[in-house]
Amino acid sequence: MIFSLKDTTENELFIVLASAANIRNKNIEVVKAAIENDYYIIVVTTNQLAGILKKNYDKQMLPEDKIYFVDAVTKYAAGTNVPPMKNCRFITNPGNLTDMGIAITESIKELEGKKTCLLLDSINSMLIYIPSHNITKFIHFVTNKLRIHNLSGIFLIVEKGIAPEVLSQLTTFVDNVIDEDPVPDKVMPVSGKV
Amino acid sequence: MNGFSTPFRDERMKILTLIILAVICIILEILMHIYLGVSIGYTHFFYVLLVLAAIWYQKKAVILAVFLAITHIAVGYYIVGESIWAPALRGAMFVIVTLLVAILSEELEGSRKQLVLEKERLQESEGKLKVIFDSIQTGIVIVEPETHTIVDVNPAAIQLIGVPKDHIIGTGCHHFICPADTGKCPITDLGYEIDNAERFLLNGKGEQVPIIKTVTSISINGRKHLLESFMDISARKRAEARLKETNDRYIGYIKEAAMRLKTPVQVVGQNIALLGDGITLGDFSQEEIVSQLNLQVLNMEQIQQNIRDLNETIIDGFGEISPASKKFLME
Repeated sequence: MIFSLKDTTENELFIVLASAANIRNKNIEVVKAAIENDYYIIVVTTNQLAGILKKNYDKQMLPEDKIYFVDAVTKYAAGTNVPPMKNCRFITNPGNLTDMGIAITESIKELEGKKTCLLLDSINSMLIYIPSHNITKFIHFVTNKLRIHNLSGIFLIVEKGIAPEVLSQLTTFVDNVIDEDPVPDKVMPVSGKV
Repeated sequence: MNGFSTPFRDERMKILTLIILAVICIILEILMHIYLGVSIGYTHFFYVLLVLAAIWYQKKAVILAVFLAITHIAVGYYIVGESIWAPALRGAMFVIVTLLVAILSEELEGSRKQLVLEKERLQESEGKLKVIFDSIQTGIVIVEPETHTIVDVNPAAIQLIGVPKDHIIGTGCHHFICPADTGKCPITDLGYEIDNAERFLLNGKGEQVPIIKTVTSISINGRKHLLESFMDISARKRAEARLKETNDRYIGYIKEAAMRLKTPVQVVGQNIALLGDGITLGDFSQEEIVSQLNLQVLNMEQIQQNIRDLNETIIDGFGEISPASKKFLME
């Protein structure tokens, strides 16, 4: 199933569930779908390096000026001497939610007045660094911020990777939950068609 | 042979009475029969002696009756010169009446002894029941079902309710042992059965004490009563709550472990697989490969740290882990 934002109204918040095998493809699908719907997109990544993601987006011919990054892993993995990247804010540690919050706020301000969507990839990789109760609080903070600024938001989660209680709590912060991969471990091809 | 109350409880008094009556009978026999020639009437007095003797000494009194009969017949026949039949008939009546009264007396005495034995057994049984009632560790309350008034309560129930006995007896059962409103008694008004059911008791402080309770109908002195027996299960409830809390914590740790270990390991595995594919296809520069590998190594190290953190939390939550096990889990 290819992710689509066509039938959704603006300023909606989603949780998108995908299999562990398909989570990387789902990132690309979501970004593609957002751009095709005239969104600017802020990709908050705690799973893949922003540089690698950018390469993937370039392969899909996605316009780089519409994609902004909050990268929590590049400086963490490669050290602090990472060269600056266009439209990208690096934070030094994926467990530092304060810095992540500031970077998200700054990115939102930078895109103020534009039709913007935030993609968080992924809550499961955040769980490596942050306990579930802190993540819940952080997602609550982010969703509030998005709603205040009338922005859309998509939170990627590996299906069956979150305890039902935590998932149901997260569900209360968003408008919709989309289970993109009801069949586990089924790798979906990336398609340009939305 | 204590059929009569005073003064005949004393054995000597009985014998004295019988001797006096026997002497009177002999005097009457001499005076009335020999000197006055009257052979009837006075003999009725003999029955006083014979009846008393039969009551007190049962069939032994027949010997006295035979003696009086022979005396009466002998005096009439040999001294007064009467026909033998009339004194013989009277003499026979002495013996028959004495024998009948003796038999009745024996039966009466048997019944009395039986009653005494029954009474003793009953008293012994009541005594045993009282000891059980007073020493059993189960609270027992007896309720009059029409008014729902408590009519008796045992020490275990008093201790559990925490109010003196005289404050409990006479009050409505809904004050202490049944929180149901008046007119909504689960047994008499709503027809429920309560058999080993978990309920609450209201103690003197107004606190709810969890109990396990059984209510049965019993008859006391021919009147229906409700016997409510109950045991304090506070300790069990506390243990259950502790167990549930422990279980909830365990499940919480397991869930957190699954979220912070199992799925992240899957994600890392997937990332490494994709990195391998990318390397094969020549998608990444040397620097990108190193950074990505470094990230996955850091992820794995953090997952290892998460295991230690979760172990520490479990150890802090449960104080029953040996130092050796603690060391093993923490390192």
